[in-house]
Amino acid sequence: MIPFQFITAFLMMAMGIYALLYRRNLIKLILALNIIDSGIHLLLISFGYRVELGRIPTAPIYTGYETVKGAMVAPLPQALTLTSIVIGVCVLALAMALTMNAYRHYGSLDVKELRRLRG
Amino acid sequence: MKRTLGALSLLFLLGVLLTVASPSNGVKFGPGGSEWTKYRYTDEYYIEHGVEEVGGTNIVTDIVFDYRGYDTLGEATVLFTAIAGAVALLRPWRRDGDE
Repeated sequence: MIPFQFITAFLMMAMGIYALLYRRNLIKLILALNIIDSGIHLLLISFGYRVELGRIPTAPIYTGYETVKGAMVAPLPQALTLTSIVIGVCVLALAMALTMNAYRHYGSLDVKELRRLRG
Repeated sequence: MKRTLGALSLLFLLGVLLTVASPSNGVKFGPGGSEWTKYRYTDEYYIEHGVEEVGGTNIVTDIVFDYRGYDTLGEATVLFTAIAGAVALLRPWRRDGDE
Protein backbone atom coordinates (compact mmCIF):
# COMPACT_ATOMS: atom_id res chain seq x y z
CA MET A 1 0.00 0.00 0.00
CA ILE A 2 1.06 3.54 -0.62
CA PRO A 3 1.61 5.24 2.75
CA PHE A 4 -1.03 7.80 3.62
CA GLN A 5 1.59 10.52 4.18
CA PHE A 6 2.57 10.37 0.51
CA ILE A 7 -1.07 10.28 -0.58
CA THR A 8 -1.88 13.31 1.57
CA ALA A 9 1.10 15.22 0.19
CA PHE A 10 0.19 14.39 -3.41
CA LEU A 11 -3.43 15.34 -2.81
CA MET A 12 -2.36 18.69 -1.36
CA MET A 13 -0.15 19.35 -4.39
CA ALA A 14 -2.94 18.29 -6.79
CA MET A 15 -5.50 20.48 -5.01
CA GLY A 16 -3.14 23.44 -5.19
CA ILE A 17 -2.55 22.96 -8.92
CA TYR A 18 -6.30 22.54 -9.44
CA ALA A 19 -6.96 25.82 -7.66
CA LEU A 20 -4.22 27.49 -9.72
CA LEU A 21 -6.00 26.33 -12.88
CA TYR A 22 -9.60 27.11 -11.99
CA ARG A 23 -9.73 29.90 -9.44
CA ARG A 24 -9.77 33.54 -10.55
CA ASN A 25 -9.12 35.43 -7.32
CA LEU A 26 -5.48 36.42 -6.89
CA ILE A 27 -5.54 35.83 -3.13
CA LYS A 28 -6.82 32.31 -3.69
CA LEU A 29 -4.02 31.72 -6.20
CA ILE A 30 -1.47 32.72 -3.57
CA LEU A 31 -3.16 30.40 -1.06
CA ALA A 32 -2.96 27.62 -3.66
CA LEU A 33 0.78 28.24 -4.04
CA ASN A 34 1.16 27.91 -0.27
CA ILE A 35 -0.83 24.68 -0.22
CA ILE A 36 1.47 23.22 -2.91
CA ASP A 37 4.42 24.35 -0.80
CA SER A 38 3.04 22.65 2.33
CA GLY A 39 2.44 19.43 0.40
CA ILE A 40 6.04 19.37 -0.76
CA HIS A 41 7.25 19.98 2.78
CA LEU A 42 5.09 17.13 4.08
CA LEU A 43 6.50 14.85 1.39
CA LEU A 44 10.09 15.83 2.21
CA ILE A 45 9.67 15.27 5.94
CA SER A 46 7.95 11.93 5.47
CA PHE A 47 10.86 10.77 3.27
CA GLY A 48 13.08 11.01 6.33
CA TYR A 49 11.01 8.78 8.60
CA ARG A 50 12.61 5.59 9.89
CA VAL A 51 11.09 2.36 11.18
CA GLU A 52 13.37 0.07 13.20
CA LEU A 53 12.05 -2.99 14.98
CA GLY A 54 11.71 -2.43 18.71
CA ARG A 55 13.07 1.13 18.66
CA ILE A 56 11.06 4.32 18.85
CA PRO A 57 11.75 6.87 16.08
CA THR A 58 13.12 9.99 17.77
CA ALA A 59 14.16 13.44 16.67
CA PRO A 60 17.90 13.75 15.83
CA ILE A 61 18.80 15.55 19.05
CA TYR A 62 21.35 14.07 21.44
CA THR A 63 20.22 16.07 24.48
CA GLY A 64 18.40 13.56 26.67
CA TYR A 65 18.91 10.80 24.13
CA GLU A 66 20.13 8.27 26.73
CA THR A 67 16.71 7.94 28.32
CA VAL A 68 15.03 6.93 25.04
CA LYS A 69 17.67 5.07 22.95
CA GLY A 70 15.43 5.36 19.93
CA ALA A 71 16.22 5.30 16.22
CA MET A 72 16.99 8.80 15.01
CA VAL A 73 15.05 9.84 11.91
CA ALA A 74 16.89 11.42 8.99
CA PRO A 75 18.02 14.98 9.80
CA LEU A 76 18.79 16.04 6.22
CA PRO A 77 15.16 16.42 4.98
CA GLN A 78 14.39 18.51 8.05
CA ALA A 79 17.25 20.88 7.25
CA LEU A 80 16.12 21.17 3.63
CA THR A 81 12.54 21.82 4.76
CA LEU A 82 13.73 24.56 7.08
CA THR A 83 15.30 26.35 4.11
CA SER A 84 12.24 25.70 1.98
CA ILE A 85 9.81 27.16 4.53
CA VAL A 86 11.74 30.43 4.59
CA ILE A 87 11.70 30.61 0.79
CA GLY A 88 7.95 29.92 0.82
CA VAL A 89 7.38 32.81 3.19
CA CYS A 90 9.49 35.05 0.93
CA VAL A 91 7.41 34.13 -2.10
CA LEU A 92 4.22 34.74 -0.10
CA ALA A 93 5.36 38.21 0.98
CA LEU A 94 6.37 39.25 -2.55
CA ALA A 95 3.17 37.90 -4.08
CA MET A 96 1.05 39.69 -1.50
CA ALA A 97 2.85 42.98 -2.18
CA LEU A 98 2.33 42.54 -5.93
CA THR A 99 -1.36 41.75 -5.33
CA MET A 100 -1.83 44.90 -3.29
CA ASN A 101 -0.23 46.93 -6.06
CA ALA A 102 -2.42 45.26 -8.65
CA TYR A 103 -5.54 46.06 -6.63
CA ARG A 104 -4.50 49.68 -6.31
CA HIS A 105 -3.89 49.84 -10.06
CA TYR A 106 -6.91 47.95 -11.39
CA GLY A 107 -9.44 48.03 -8.57
CA SER A 108 -10.02 44.30 -8.91
CA LEU A 109 -8.42 41.01 -7.95
CA ASP A 110 -9.90 38.97 -10.81
CA VAL A 111 -7.22 37.60 -13.11
CA LYS A 112 -9.58 37.97 -16.06
CA GLU A 113 -9.90 41.68 -15.31
CA LEU A 114 -6.14 42.08 -15.01
CA ARG A 115 -5.36 40.96 -18.53
CA ARG A 116 -5.60 44.36 -20.17
CA LEU A 117 -2.46 46.41 -19.83
CA ARG A 118 -3.08 49.93 -18.61
CA GLY A 119 -0.43 52.62 -18.54
CA MET B 1 -10.51 23.24 -24.26
CA LYS B 2 -7.27 24.22 -22.65
CA ARG B 3 -8.68 23.72 -19.14
CA THR B 4 -9.78 20.16 -19.82
CA LEU B 5 -6.29 19.42 -21.10
CA GLY B 6 -4.89 20.95 -17.92
CA ALA B 7 -7.13 18.81 -15.70
CA LEU B 8 -6.22 15.68 -17.66
CA SER B 9 -2.49 16.39 -17.36
CA LEU B 10 -3.01 17.02 -13.64
CA LEU B 11 -4.67 13.61 -13.26
CA PHE B 12 -1.85 12.02 -15.27
CA LEU B 13 0.74 13.68 -13.06
CA LEU B 14 -1.06 12.46 -9.93
CA GLY B 15 -1.11 8.91 -11.29
CA VAL B 16 2.59 9.01 -12.11
CA LEU B 17 3.40 10.32 -8.63
CA LEU B 18 1.29 7.65 -6.94
CA THR B 19 2.97 4.96 -9.06
CA VAL B 20 6.42 6.23 -8.17
CA ALA B 21 5.58 6.44 -4.48
CA SER B 22 4.15 2.93 -4.18
CA PRO B 23 6.55 0.67 -2.26
CA SER B 24 6.51 -2.14 -4.83
CA ASN B 25 8.14 -0.11 -7.60
CA GLY B 26 9.55 3.02 -6.05
CA VAL B 27 10.20 4.93 -2.87
CA LYS B 28 9.76 3.03 0.35
CA PHE B 29 8.30 4.79 3.37
CA GLY B 30 10.20 4.44 6.63
CA PRO B 31 13.26 2.36 5.75
CA GLY B 32 14.99 0.49 8.54
CA GLY B 33 17.93 -1.83 9.09
CA SER B 34 19.86 -2.60 5.91
CA GLU B 35 17.60 -0.37 3.82
CA TRP B 36 18.45 2.51 6.10
CA THR B 37 22.20 2.06 5.60
CA LYS B 38 21.65 1.59 1.87
CA TYR B 39 19.42 4.59 1.13
CA ARG B 40 20.14 7.01 4.00
CA TYR B 41 23.89 6.63 4.53
CA THR B 42 24.42 10.40 4.44
CA ASP B 43 21.94 10.88 7.27
CA GLU B 44 23.64 8.01 9.11
CA TYR B 45 26.99 9.80 8.74
CA TYR B 46 25.49 13.02 10.10
CA ILE B 47 23.94 11.18 13.04
CA GLU B 48 27.14 9.26 13.83
CA HIS B 49 29.73 12.00 13.38
CA GLY B 50 27.75 15.21 13.88
CA VAL B 51 28.44 15.67 17.55
CA GLU B 52 32.23 15.21 17.50
CA GLU B 53 32.76 16.97 14.18
CA VAL B 54 30.64 20.06 14.82
CA GLY B 55 29.97 20.07 18.54
CA GLY B 56 26.25 20.70 18.67
CA THR B 57 23.93 18.03 20.01
CA ASN B 58 21.12 19.00 17.64
CA ILE B 59 21.96 17.33 14.34
CA VAL B 60 19.60 19.49 12.27
CA THR B 61 21.26 22.73 13.40
CA ASP B 62 24.66 21.07 12.83
CA ILE B 63 23.65 20.45 9.22
CA VAL B 64 22.01 23.83 8.71
CA PHE B 65 24.83 25.92 10.14
CA ASP B 66 27.96 23.84 9.55
CA TYR B 67 27.76 21.06 6.95
CA ARG B 68 25.49 22.98 4.62
CA GLY B 69 26.14 26.52 5.75
CA TYR B 70 26.13 27.90 2.23
CA ASP B 71 22.50 26.81 1.90
CA THR B 72 21.67 28.89 4.94
CA LEU B 73 23.61 31.83 3.50
CA GLY B 74 21.59 31.60 0.30
CA GLU B 75 18.38 31.32 2.30
CA ALA B 76 19.26 34.49 4.21
CA THR B 77 19.99 36.18 0.87
CA VAL B 78 16.59 35.11 -0.45
CA LEU B 79 14.89 36.46 2.67
CA PHE B 80 16.76 39.76 2.40
CA THR B 81 15.87 40.10 -1.28
CA ALA B 82 12.21 39.34 -0.61
CA ILE B 83 12.04 41.94 2.16
CA ALA B 84 13.77 44.52 -0.04
CA GLY B 85 11.41 43.75 -2.92
CA ALA B 86 8.29 43.93 -0.76
CA VAL B 87 9.40 47.24 0.77
CA ALA B 88 10.18 48.63 -2.69
CA LEU B 89 6.77 47.53 -3.97
CA LEU B 90 4.82 48.92 -1.04
CA ARG B 91 6.41 52.37 -0.96
CA PRO B 92 3.97 55.23 -1.57
CA TRP B 93 3.40 56.07 -5.17
CA ARG B 94 4.69 59.22 -6.76
CA ARG B 95 1.87 61.61 -7.51
CA ASP B 96 1.41 62.83 -11.06
CA GLY B 97 1.67 66.47 -10.09
CA ASP B 98 5.19 66.02 -8.70
CA GLU B 99 6.72 64.98 -11.97
